[in-house]
Amino acid sequence: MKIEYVLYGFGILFCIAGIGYLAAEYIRYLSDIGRIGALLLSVCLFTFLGKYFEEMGW
Amino acid sequence: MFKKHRNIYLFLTLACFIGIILVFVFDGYMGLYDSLTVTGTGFPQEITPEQWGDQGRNGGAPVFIDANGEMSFSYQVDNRRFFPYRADVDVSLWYNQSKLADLASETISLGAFGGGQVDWTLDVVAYVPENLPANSTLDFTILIKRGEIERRVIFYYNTSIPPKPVILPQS
Repeated sequence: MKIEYVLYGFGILFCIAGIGYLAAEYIRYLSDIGRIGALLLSVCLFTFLGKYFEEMGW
Repeated sequence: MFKKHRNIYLFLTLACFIGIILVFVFDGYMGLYDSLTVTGTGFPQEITPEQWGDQGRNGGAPVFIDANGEMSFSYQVDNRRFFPYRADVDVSLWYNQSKLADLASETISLGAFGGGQVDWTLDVVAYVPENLPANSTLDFTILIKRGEIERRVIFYYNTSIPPKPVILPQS
């Protein structure tokens, strides 16, 4: 396995862990608009990520 | 062209990720947060910033107290903003829409990302009517005014709870 993919995996894991920490700590302080915005951005994130992998042929 | 097209989706993914981070930082973390800590009751109680939102439904954040004893209050304000904050804090005790006493009046000056607190004590027994029937419950309200913002704390005084035992030092 290429070392690049391992590093990609670590990076993705840390990003998910970081967002999980922020969500656990501060989601209760978000306004209604902030929550909707975070939800929409999350949906768009996974949509674009899926499109990216689709274009790569995975 | 395919590589350029592929990178666009990656950049948009990163942009959404950074956007989520910014939403949590600027909407969830930044701002002015206040909390209240009560000691001297059966156990220390804290009213956290998100609990102030319940005031609209309940009339105030409830605190349950013992029958007697002096309570200590600590009202903390956390200024998580890039500019300083200054406000007058006035605390008063109310019962049945009548003001019983002024408990504290201070001006707090907080720097950027600084904090401050206002402390006061209250012996509620001093405000309980003498001819109160046994097994009665009274609800007092502490009104905290910080500038334009009002916080209400309701605490329930119950006479059926026995007084705290006084432990004498052994000679």
